[in-house]
Amino acid sequence: MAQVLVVDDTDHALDLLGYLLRDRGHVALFARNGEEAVTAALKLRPDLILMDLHMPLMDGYEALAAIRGSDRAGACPILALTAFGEVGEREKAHAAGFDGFFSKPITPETFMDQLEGFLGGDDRRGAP
Amino acid sequence: MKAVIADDLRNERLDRLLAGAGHQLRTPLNSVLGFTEILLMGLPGPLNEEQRRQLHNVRSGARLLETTIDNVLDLVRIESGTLNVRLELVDVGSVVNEVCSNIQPIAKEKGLSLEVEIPAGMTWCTNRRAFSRILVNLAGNALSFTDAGGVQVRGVLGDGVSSARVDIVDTGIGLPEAERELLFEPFERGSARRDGRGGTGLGLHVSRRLADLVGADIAVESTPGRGSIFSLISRRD
Repeated sequence: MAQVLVVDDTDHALDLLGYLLRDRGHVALFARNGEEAVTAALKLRPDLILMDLHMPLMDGYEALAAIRGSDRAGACPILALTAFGEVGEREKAHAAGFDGFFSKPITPETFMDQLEGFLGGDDRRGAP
Repeated sequence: MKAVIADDLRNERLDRLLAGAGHQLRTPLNSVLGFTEILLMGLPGPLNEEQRRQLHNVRSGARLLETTIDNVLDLVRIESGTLNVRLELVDVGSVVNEVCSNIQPIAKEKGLSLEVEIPAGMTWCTNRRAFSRILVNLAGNALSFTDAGGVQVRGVLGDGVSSARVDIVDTGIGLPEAERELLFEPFERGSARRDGRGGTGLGLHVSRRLADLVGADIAVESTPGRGSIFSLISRRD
């Protein structure tokens, strides 16, 4: 069981990912923008963060930088999940320091398998 | 000079507009596909046969919409010359595995095998996203037009005589010779239109245009009733 922080500005996305995480026995924590994500990451120290990239107030890139810069939550895997399937976004996300990159729409079963590959040490099965 | 700046501005605006449109279209689709899949997995509870059949229809319609969104956006970018296809050294196995893991559920539903055979360390000077989009289209088509057996994606290294290529081999319905080139025309679906199979008739057209931009060709061999091989062939080796 892991604690996963899901950061997304759409209710449906939080609902969907929360459901899938709970189904696999994990605890889902939620944040609706980058600012909330940073606060939650530092306070709750999740095992993994699933981050939308484009959100109001503070986007995923800024939130990643703030979390990575902290001693409290800096080491946890942070995965990008975005509906921007555009040219160069994946490269930009990897260059920024995201550990994985996933595009919406997701395929729940495979997505959850890949996400769990990032939990528990070096057994990483997700996208490079 | 002014004209060049105006063109750049126009292209930048178009690029932002298309990126925004893609985002706005994929976000609701994530809900449609995601929740449909959860229901089909039976997570909230068991389904009866009719509910399952209807949800399968929702899912296949939504998947078709997903492919269409990506292909239409790519086509607009290609036509307007705003598609950025920077070439890079791509690990063929990693892209093929990623694409195949995404379409594996479709193979599973149809009871088809989906095999990957890429030589270790095979690289290709291409654009990762364009390469991935071409594979999604070709392998997705192969699954759509195969009812028994399966699909194999295999890489063949260039050796100075032959060029490097990736073959998508299926045991599907095959293509009559007269349709092979026709199918690369936009919205041309050949006999697929008659037997109601998936596809909007943009995938092959967009794939060939993308291949051209990254210095590759798409060739097709087929035996009706036995299967087809669509090959992405590098022009560089």
